[in-house]
Amino acid sequence: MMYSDIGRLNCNVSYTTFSTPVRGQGSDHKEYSSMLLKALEGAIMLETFPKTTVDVFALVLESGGSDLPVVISCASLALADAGIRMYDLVAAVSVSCLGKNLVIDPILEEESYQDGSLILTCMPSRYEVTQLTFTGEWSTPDINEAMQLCLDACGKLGKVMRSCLKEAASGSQD
Amino acid sequence: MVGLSAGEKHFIQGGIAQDLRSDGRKRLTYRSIYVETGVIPQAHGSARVRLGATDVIASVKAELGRPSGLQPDKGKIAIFVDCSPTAAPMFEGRGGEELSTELSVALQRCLLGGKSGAGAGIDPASLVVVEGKVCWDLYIDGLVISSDGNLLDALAAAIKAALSNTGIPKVDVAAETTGDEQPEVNISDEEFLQFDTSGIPVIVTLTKVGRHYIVDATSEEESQMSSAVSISINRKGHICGLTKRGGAGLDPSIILDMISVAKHVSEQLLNKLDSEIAAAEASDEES
Repeated sequence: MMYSDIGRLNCNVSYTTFSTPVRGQGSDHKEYSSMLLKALEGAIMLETFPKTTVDVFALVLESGGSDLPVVISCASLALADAGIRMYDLVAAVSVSCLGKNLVIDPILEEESYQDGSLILTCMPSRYEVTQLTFTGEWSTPDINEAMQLCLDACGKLGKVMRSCLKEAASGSQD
Repeated sequence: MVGLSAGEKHFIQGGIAQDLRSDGRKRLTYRSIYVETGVIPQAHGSARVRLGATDVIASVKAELGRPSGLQPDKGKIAIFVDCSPTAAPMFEGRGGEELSTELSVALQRCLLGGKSGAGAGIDPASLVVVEGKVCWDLYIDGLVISSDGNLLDALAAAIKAALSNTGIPKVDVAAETTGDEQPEVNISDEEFLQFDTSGIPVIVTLTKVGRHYIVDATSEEESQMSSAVSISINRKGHICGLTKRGGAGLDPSIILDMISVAKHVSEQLLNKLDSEIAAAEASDEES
């Protein structure tokens, strides 16, 4: 591998064969690995570990909708637990648009009937979006509403993740 | 990777900050678009789009197939992108695979709409011949011949041009069939149906270099980017898809600002592209 003066990040998302309603359907999500990479790389201080690769492996045991946001939030917690230096935790949330309604954190059934979806990952304390995808047709007021909804949810999720890490750290000291 | 010296990097960044890029363009100006249609006789529709030194071909093939059990009233559309090793040395072997998947996924997201088919550029319901039994499967293939940045915008433009060049053969259903039998169909080789391509969006990629963002970045400019946002916008000014590339984070207000800039740029791009496609179609018919 080529020399690099900043660290490398390598991500891999896979599904178990029994994670989806139809066996082996999880291989439809080839793009998740690169999306996880893009969501995380902006948060990690890669310059703090030159000549080193960090591998992130995510395995989806049971797919019940909003898989990618859960994978991203989970991976950022794992990185923090591993002591990898990051600017901030990465929280991810998805919103589905069903008709005129926006639903946050959709389940599998809602996802299969959605007219559009939005995945937003952000660093809550820095208030920076690291990854954002839209599918389906959206008007500008809808985008504003959905993004605000996601950002608020990411803020709340970030707090939960933070307290969870603190608990784990204080638990291991005892 | 583009190898640039510190001086060259500084020159590119400085030019962008002063709204005068190294090829003389302003920040929000596209390179001239050149469209050619009907380049692949074997396909049902094809187009070649050149955007400066970026050169891509899109072809559309239609095959009769069975609709999926979950959505019996919809045809299937698949988009694949292949990066030719002639475009860049790094595409040799399996090197282009990652970029190919990234581009395919981004195009699928931007052109095919939500899972229910809402907001799709092509209505999948128009591809059905006999509900639940026969439908057209549309295979859209993109090929990158030469890469000088902004591949996604060029590919989306090529697909739009290829689809407006596409004629799907008219199908006659021979006789009424009952039960689970596959109906017999007759494919006409004289009559073709055209698509309505007015709803197909264009993709505008805004690349952020320093504090400013530019459209239609060349590969030198792309090497200096901190992040890029690709937004697909249709005639109505609605967002049909959005993908972010590059790792650096963006402030939410900047993203909203980028969307409004992209909307403004997309109007000009759509008009330019439509006139280019019309001109290409006219010269294609003459020859």
